[in-house]
Amino acid sequence: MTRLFRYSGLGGVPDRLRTTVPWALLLLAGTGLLMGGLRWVPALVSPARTGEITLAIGFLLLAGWCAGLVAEAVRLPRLTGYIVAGIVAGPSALGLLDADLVSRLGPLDDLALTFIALVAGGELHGELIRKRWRSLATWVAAQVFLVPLLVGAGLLALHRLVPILPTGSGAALGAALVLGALSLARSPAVTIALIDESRARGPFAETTLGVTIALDTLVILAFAAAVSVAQVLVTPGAELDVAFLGILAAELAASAVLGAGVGLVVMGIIRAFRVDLPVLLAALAFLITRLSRELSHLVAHGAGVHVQLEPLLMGLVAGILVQNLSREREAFTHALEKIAPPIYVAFFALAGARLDISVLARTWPLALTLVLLRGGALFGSGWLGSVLARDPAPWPRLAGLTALSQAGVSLGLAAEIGRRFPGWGEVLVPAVLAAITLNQVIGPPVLAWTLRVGDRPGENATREPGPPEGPSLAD
Amino acid sequence: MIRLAALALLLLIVLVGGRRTPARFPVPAGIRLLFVTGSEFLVVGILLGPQLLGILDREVIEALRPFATVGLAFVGLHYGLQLEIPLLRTIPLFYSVAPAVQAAGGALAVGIPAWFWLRAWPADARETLVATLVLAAAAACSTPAPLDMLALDRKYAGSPVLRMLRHLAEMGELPALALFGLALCWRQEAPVIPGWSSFLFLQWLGLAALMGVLFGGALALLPRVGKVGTGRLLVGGLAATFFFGGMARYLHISPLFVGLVAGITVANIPGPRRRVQALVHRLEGPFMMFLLLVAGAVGTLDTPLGLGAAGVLAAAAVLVVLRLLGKGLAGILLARTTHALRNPPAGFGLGLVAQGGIAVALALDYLESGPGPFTSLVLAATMFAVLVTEMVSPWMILRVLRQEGPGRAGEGGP
Repeated sequence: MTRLFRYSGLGGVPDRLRTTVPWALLLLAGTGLLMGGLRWVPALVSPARTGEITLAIGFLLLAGWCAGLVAEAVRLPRLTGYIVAGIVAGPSALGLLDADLVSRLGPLDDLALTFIALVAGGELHGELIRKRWRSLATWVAAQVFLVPLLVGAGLLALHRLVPILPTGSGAALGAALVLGALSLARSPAVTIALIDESRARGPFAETTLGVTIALDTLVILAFAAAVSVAQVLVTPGAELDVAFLGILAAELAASAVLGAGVGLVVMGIIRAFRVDLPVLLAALAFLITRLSRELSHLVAHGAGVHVQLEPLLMGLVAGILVQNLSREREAFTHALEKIAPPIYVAFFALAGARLDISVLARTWPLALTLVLLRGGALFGSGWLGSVLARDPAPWPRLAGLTALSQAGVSLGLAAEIGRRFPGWGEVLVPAVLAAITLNQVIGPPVLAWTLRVGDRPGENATREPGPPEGPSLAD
Repeated sequence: MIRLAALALLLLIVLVGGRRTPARFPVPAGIRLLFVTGSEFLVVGILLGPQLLGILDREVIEALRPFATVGLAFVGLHYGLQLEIPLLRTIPLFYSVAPAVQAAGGALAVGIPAWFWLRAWPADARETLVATLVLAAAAACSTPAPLDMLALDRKYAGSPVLRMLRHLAEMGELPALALFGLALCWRQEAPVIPGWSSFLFLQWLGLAALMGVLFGGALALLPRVGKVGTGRLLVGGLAATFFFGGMARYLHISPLFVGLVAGITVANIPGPRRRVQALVHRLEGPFMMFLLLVAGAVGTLDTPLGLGAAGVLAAAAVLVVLRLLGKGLAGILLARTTHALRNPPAGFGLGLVAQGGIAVALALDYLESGPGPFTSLVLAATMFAVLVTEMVSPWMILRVLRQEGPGRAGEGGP
């Protein structure tokens, strides 16, 4: 293969391109052909389609793995490769994975999202907050107040020129408010996975991580508040639902308390095990999600109150607790690092497969408007927050760009818009989904770039000396 | 909710108990062996499964199934990687033939009576033969785990008989796996090539072999993709195993057999063998755990044959006794014909009585390849046999070792 490059006149291309890309593409093509070929042998397949889930997970892992290597060779984050592999293989492109199969892979999300929260909590140690409190506070404050305001105002201003929002001043204001709040949502999974992947441990990466985690919780509160206010604006005679906000705060508090309990269990597990620890932590992440869901059902049936416990917050608190209170924190971090890579590959490839490109084609003008407005608002608020914190030179122009990625939480909140506002909400949702799709593709490379530029060599930019290779999977 | 909390708690108790109990309290070697081989997870699966506590319900079992499938593929890979043909050529003839004789002893002793017994039910002849072959293949298996455990004892560490037994146990599983793979190819009724219904067995064998070679090729290619390091290679290896294991299951081929062919393929490609072997060694443990957990959960004494729980257990007990006889007789035959051991003890073959998790893997693979009249019976009987033989094996091995005469240097192994 290398010889082929030499003869074809590509001898001058970087070494990684010559050694990695041809083999990775060969494996990727072979995997795709085999997967596609299975569609031509229906006679051999049982009606029960046993093994299909295993096959689909394997395909996502293998295709994502190869695409990640190719992405890395062309200086993009591996994560972008995973997402693109998912998009290409998914129902809206080649259709190697159909929509039904993609929906049946839901348990992967159950495992991955809570696991990623556990990793995020494990990264947050008290020292980080003590060292970076000023930047954390100003970045968060600037974004929480300015992003919804700027996006909402921008939408209303544009609405005067081109009617992009629902008609009627109340509905237009309500929609702008909700979309503004939704713009705060980012993808903590992308941030955590990318920081992990790039092994960035400088002050900029630490601040980005802290802000992401803080906003991950605040966005739920901000969105809930925006929805309550929007309902008052949209529905004549409606009153502000303060009880709803109270329930939400109680849900978050309960999730945090349960997360602390999970943290204690994790500490116990770490003390008892060494060999199977990575697998046990992954199983525990799956269990947290299932437990939170069943507990929510139990409260709904028992007390008649609709509550939604947050497995992400539970995982986050558990991780923070173990990182800051346990003597076994190194074993914890090490175990998470060992099992994380395949979870990231499968989760982000699946996220890519879920993206519906056809929606983007239908609603691109509004989607693009939302992306640009959100990007501008994030850049402006990030700049202001960073300047107020007196951060060093490159940070102000980078701060807001760290938050471009959107994924799981944003998709959930977008669906909530359609549910809460059945009229105009349902009309806006496709455009919002298309904007999230764009952000999911654009966000990771931009974040990877900010991490590279923000933590320059000489500023404690890289992880302390460790193994040169990515983490291993099992003991 | 209660189910999940109970599941979490029980798993934790059993796992913590499993890791701690043997170390802290003196327990019989047979019980300790269950924790060494991982059969504790088989017991956990039985306890939590629908037959007893019902905590591992259908939904949870479905979620665990992919991991069990991958575990099967890893089992095949593990053994296939040992078949490095140039290396095998250097092994003296006796050491190559002896494991096959030992395996055949167990297989024939169980297979022949099982064939006549299973024929009593009005089932398809093909199904009867396949069930017989799977039972025979499972009976042929012997795990080296109890021998490894006893080898830790300084008194027996240098024993030539122990060395010989280890060799027989390790190599004896290869013919069992091959027999099983062939049996599952025999099970297929639809042609691979539409409209061509001749040579069905060969068609399926060809497909399984092709898939195995592709799997092996993919594994061999992984270290070349950008010369990736160990961490990323592990992810690639895991991905390939999920993909080909899933594809095998999707097409009703044994993931275990496909893994075996893949392992043989990699073992005979110069270069990547060592790295892939290290990869499989690091990955297979957790998946074997899931495999045993699922086997325990899906195992049932309620078979479509209407034997009842007592009938199934009685049949399983008879098969255990028959297997003991077969292993014992094969041992006597080997002891009489070999010069590799100076004073082979009587009942030498009884040192290979522990069947091990591989036998469960075969029975589970058979069950997962599609429902049949004998699938549940085969799994239940095999699980029973594995648990019983593991518990008695340390005692039997010790009896054999105590009868051992003084050995010679270099005696007992290739």
